Amino acid sequence: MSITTSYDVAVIGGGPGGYVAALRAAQSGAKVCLIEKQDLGGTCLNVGCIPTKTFYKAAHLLNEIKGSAELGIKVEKTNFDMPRLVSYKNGVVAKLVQGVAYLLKKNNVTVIKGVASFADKNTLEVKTAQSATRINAKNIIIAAGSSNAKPPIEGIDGKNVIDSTQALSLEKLPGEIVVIGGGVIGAELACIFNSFGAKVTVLEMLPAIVNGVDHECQAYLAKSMIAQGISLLTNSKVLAIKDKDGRKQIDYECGERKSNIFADVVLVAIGRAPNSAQLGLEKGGVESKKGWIKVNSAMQTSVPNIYAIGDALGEQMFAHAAYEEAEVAVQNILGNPCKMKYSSVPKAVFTNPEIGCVGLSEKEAKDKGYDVAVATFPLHGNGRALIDGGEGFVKIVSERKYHEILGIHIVGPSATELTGEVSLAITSELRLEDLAAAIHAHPTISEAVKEAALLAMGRQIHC
Amino acid sequence: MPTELLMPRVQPAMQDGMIVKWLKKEGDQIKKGEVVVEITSEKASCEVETFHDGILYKILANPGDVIPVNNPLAIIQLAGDKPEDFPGLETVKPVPIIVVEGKQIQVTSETPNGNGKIKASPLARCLAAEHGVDLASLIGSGPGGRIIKQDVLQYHQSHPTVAKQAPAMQQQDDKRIPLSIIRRETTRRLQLSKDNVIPVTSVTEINLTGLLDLYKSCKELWRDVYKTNLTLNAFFIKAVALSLKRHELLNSTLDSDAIVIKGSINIGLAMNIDDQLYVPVIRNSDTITVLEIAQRVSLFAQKAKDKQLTLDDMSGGTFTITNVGPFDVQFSTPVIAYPQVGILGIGTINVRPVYQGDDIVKQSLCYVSLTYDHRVIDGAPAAGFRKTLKELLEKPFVLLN
Repeated sequence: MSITTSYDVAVIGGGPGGYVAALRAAQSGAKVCLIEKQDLGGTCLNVGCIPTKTFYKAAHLLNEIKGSAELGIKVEKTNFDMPRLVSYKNGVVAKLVQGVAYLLKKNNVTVIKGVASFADKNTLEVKTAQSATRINAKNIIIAAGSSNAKPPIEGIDGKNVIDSTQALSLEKLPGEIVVIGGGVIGAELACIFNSFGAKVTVLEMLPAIVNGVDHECQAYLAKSMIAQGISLLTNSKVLAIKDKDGRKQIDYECGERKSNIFADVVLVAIGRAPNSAQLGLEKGGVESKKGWIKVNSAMQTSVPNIYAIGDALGEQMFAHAAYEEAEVAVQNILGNPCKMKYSSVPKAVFTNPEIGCVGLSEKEAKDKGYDVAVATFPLHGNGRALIDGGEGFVKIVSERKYHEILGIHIVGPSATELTGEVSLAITSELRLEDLAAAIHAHPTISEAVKEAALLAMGRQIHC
Repeated sequence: MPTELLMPRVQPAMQDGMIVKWLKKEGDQIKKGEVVVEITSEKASCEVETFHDGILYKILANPGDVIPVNNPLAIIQLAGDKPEDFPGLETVKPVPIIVVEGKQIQVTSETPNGNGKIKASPLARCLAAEHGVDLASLIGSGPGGRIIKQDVLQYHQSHPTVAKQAPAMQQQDDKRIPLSIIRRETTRRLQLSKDNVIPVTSVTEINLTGLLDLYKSCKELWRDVYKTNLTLNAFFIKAVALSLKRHELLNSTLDSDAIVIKGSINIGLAMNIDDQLYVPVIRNSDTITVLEIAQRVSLFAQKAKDKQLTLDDMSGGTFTITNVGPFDVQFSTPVIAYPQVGILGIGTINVRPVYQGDDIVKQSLCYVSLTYDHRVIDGAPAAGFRKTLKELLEKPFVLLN
């Protein structure tokens, strides 16, 4: 064992939660170290949000080209070069990862490359490539993140069975892909690979895809995906993945009926698993459930000086939620008590069309006992959306008496961008009147948000 | 269609107002922008203008009546209205504001200046109005101390409204005096201070012999030359203002996460006029002369007598002085006008024999009590303030600079 170094705050994991926590703590004058076992930036930068959105950009461009003839632009032939896209993506990722390293250095955060595990509640053992070292810290923030979950399905380890990480570094575009899991990741990748030209089938065990968003958004997306040529098989449980004549055979059951489909590649996207196995949580005394770490609203674990944030909680697995959790954890460490509020964490789904949601879905609002009023403004009443060739809607779920905005759910072009305004409105407890009173620039898709607010009060103009 | 004249909301927290005087009578022609009625609320009178041309058809509330905000005070017959438009007054609905040509009812001030502003989310405001919760009595838990929905609901649950409580037992010989709006507002503010402030009072004795000489020599001259009625209070205000400038911690408010030193020094002077307590504010007392202060004080006193004090006149104070000397009070422990952090009470001036070296001399002495909010101010800075004040009042010529 080498010498023990002491820190005010030690952060485990250099993803969006971890590096923001480290930066914020260091900016406040704490002596901080960050331990990362792989690459700074975590899932988000390396194998999550950023690479997916690079792929999404390419897919979106291909779709635009497909529709460009109507605008008088005829493209004779489009060549899609998968390796070139992967290399572009790698370039974007590298730049961002370097940026994170630069920020950490600038703020005097000690970055240690290695695997951390608890020795006790104040001590971490870090195994680096060369040696092992001990770190003593007054406070520890666990931001260990998550990885692709692997379901116990026969043949899951077989050839050409990939997860989302591998899908983002494919050397060749597969002809046919079966995506297991129609959650956010599955649906996003299904739309992307479909736009690239692959034939895509989605197998989802539940009755609907993209669970967790408002049911109307789910239904609209499903309809739209089918119209694009994606096969959606819901209520379908995968039984086995087999090899047959050099291809993959996927056996599944839909209710009583058993069937199979064939593909070149099987993409497994059935969810995420916590990266907590190596942490030695029990030595630190940290409680967890199936590996997901339990915290209170101050992001504190069962051990008062140990905090946990990000995907490892299994709560809201978004980088932007982790940013805020990091802020809350650090503020509590610094002695400024505050609580994490999840009520206005936006959901941004980069499918085709996009989905952007903040707040309660219609069903959640009703389950909570609100007297709910729903207004849905269709985007075909919005000039800019029409120009962009996109359709969709803005749906506002509000409380009938006080006009409290409970949730806003948007499907269509720029839906994810519109979450900014919506999150501000809900965080600030604006009422329908306030949203409707704000002047929205014309012609923009954001006008639809105002229109939906007007519609919710029965004062609509454009529908 | 006839329209209604409504009780305006003069201040954000206002819930009702009392009719003081009708300036027009039924049947009078009224013009847009003309003052029709005077109301009072929050210690101030204000004038309500009509924003219609027409005839004051029917007065619905009499002087002394308390009317909730946005409830009708009168019916106005507009040009073109026919007699059959008035079958039953209760069916008359206010004309929707969006189609009315004209302006919002003008009152002297929409919101009080400075520290009277309450940070609250739109939803919290709406809920507070609905449940009759006074936002000023809440401490916000939102960003930057903003009052949010949860704060209002929690407060509402823990403080059932007065109306829901069983009425007090009435004995035969008791007499119940309904609270006037002014009394109600005073109790509310006192309670607010009691609930929020940790007051400490310390008393010092000041030799005012020199000040009284100066006052006497100025008084006659100023009356003749400037037509100004000089009072000792003008000197006190000036001395306090200058002391505050040196000890700015006493000229502050406590925000949720910070002490806010106020940008200007605005001194409220408590006045008892016709058995009513008024606290008009002399703005920027540190930058104006004693003469100007005296002019403003006498103007305010006159306005209070004429019931002409406006909300503007009484808002924005950052420190208060109450001179209880004339009531034969040696010293008092006045209540801080929350969210201010200090108040100065001035007692009766006594002529006493005092040792000066070995000689006994005649001196005019006065106890001055400083009550301060201990959450913001500790004993030492308070003592510093009192020391400066004492020095200024004992060498009063400095005040005339």
